Amino acid sequence: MSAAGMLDDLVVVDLSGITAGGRSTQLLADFGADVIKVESYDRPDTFRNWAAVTGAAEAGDLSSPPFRVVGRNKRAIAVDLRDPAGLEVARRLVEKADIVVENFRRGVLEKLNLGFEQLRRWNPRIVLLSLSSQGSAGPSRNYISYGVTLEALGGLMSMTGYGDGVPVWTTPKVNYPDQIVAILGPTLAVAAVRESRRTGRGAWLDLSQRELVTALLGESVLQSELTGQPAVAPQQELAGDGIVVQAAGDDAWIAVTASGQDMAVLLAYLEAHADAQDKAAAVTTPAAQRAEALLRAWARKQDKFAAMAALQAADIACAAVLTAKDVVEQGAARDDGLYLQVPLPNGDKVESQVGWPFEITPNQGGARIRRRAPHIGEHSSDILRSLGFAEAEIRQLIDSKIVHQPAAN
Amino acid sequence: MTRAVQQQSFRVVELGTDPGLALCGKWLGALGGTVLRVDEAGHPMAMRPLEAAPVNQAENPLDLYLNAGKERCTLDLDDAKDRATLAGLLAAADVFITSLEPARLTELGLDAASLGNHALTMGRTSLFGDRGAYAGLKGNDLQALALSGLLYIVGEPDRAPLPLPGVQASYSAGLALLSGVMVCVWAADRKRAFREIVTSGVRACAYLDWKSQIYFEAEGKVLVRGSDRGPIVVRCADGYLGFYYRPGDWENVKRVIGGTALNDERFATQAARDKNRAELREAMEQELANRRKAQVYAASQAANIPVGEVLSLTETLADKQYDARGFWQETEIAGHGTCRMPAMPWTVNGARQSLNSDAPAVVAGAAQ
Repeated sequence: MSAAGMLDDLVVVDLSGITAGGRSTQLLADFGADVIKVESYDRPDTFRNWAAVTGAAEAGDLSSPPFRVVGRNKRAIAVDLRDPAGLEVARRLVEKADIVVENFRRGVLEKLNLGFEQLRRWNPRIVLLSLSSQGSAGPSRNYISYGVTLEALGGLMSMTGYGDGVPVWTTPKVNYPDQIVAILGPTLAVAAVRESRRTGRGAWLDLSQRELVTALLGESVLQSELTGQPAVAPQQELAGDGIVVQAAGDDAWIAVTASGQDMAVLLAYLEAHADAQDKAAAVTTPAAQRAEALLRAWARKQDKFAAMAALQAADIACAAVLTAKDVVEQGAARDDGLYLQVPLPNGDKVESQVGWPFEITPNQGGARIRRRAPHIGEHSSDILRSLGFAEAEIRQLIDSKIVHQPAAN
Repeated sequence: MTRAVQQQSFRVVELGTDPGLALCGKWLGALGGTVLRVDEAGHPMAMRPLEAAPVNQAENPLDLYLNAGKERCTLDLDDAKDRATLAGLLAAADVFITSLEPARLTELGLDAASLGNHALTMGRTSLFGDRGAYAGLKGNDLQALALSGLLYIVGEPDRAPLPLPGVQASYSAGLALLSGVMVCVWAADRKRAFREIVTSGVRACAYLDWKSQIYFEAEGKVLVRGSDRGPIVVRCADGYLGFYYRPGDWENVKRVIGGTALNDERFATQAARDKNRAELREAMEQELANRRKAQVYAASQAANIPVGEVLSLTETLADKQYDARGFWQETEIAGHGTCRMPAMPWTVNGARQSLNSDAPAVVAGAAQ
């Protein structure tokens, strides 16, 4: 594998926190960008001790499993940006950077004297990637959000449900808007740096997470415009997008679709394989209702993987609904870079983390694990040296608690 | 709309009917790509079985949304002359993105082995991937969500897993393809070479559901569907609210909701609120029964509580924030007049970006 990553000539100042920002810059770091995570020692990234999913957060700044994922391949500096000396550190960082990434509440960056105009004065070719909730302009620009509330505002929740009008969100376990923005965000940043390298002029990218949610429902918006009918959560139908039915076992499911001619194929298969008792109990017409009734009765007695194999062999669209356990265990056998072995802190063990959303040939574009996620300020001194600070200046910044450098183990 | 930044252009040829592929092409056109979409004769972009009144193929919302503004041509790839035209297009291209199946690409001489001598970035997307146990499976977005793990985690714990609406698996793969292509375009600026990107709906959605996987890996926990702590969905007079609050917000929550029901001891701590979640929802809904979602949303935000009101897509069309941001792109559709659809969900220096309309000259004879 080549030592170089495709993005190894990019320098990123990462002011972001939690998922959307952290996952965006992780993708850049995985492909070789030098991503410098900038945090306050007093108020570090809350993702380091994240309790929103499991309700518990252990002590230690690398205890949070999701932080260990988004923090990998990054270096970290802890600096008090409210202090003029800390702002000087920021200035030198920005001068040497291509990209600054932030997802603060609107206005916070400017209060820190790090707004785009300031950044541009320091470095005319800088690209600022703002991962904003609703954009940096407009009457709701200062409203705060977490990912799932943008599902509400962006229309996704109203389209997600069981057909009874009650909206459903992906919950903080997924936070869907954060995840999709974390693929698009770094893409926009790379495109903008191409331009800034060519022209010498930077740009401020303002990626609205709420708008992205709606943009991924664009055809439904247009459908509504064309027909005059409101877009609502679709009824789940076997002949439509498909249905999810219970298989044998605890919380085991299969997803089946039988549109067009496939309905007759499915019905024929079920007539041949369903129990006589289930066939007698099922309605006789119409065919779609009989097929669904037989399917539900048949699937309840099948292992989900066996059901998937059987229906696929009969040329019916069917998949087992995989749990995270299924996905990870199947992933262990993969060699396509979806799973990576990443060192755990303070030990020689590794954990398996999700890699990248695509494969690149050759050599996965040089993407690889270079280092585990950093402790708060783990690389502060090294980063200050690379910015031209003398040893005495570094000592003074640390002694005055403007910069934090943890003791070496 | 104006293009805020004129990037160094690269030429993109797009071939296939997958919605995610078309999304990738559309947004590449705003990121410096000059995009030509090749439609294969007899293979229109499929219409989804949407619930609303049907529209005809010429008004396919997916096609109109994803491909409006692109330079397009239709080629019969079973015809030698048209295949030669496509070969010419690819010879002049920097990027080739496709959703054709591997066997069809090989048959057409468009696979990596055939194109590997070109300094080309080739990207392919599909729902189930090109290799491994799922390659070649029959299915649509629902099955891709199922195999990724993302289907299992969405919905209520005592009900079936719930698919996300639309074609989110396909779109997620399209975003992944877009990202991979842009990384390769960056690399090609430094060294031109053949590079291949492969993604799928299953892979992209597994990437999106990474938290479920890392919690299983690290702690052996299989996360289950539904909200079981903290944020809660509640009904009010005219709809629903995604009531996200943090433990430290609770006093403000009580003030915004009003009344006395939330003063109950069952809701005094976050642990107690999580334990008595059903009662909490009932108490909140009782207090909100006569209040409108927009009013509660505004009051919550004023109190620094990150609540969101649940808007239908129709309501988003009347949303002041979207209007102020210029988010709706207007398009003229014969028989329907002016219709709106989402623009690119980002701005550059405050300006909305649009699709690059500069088409490769080589297509002039073939363009419709």
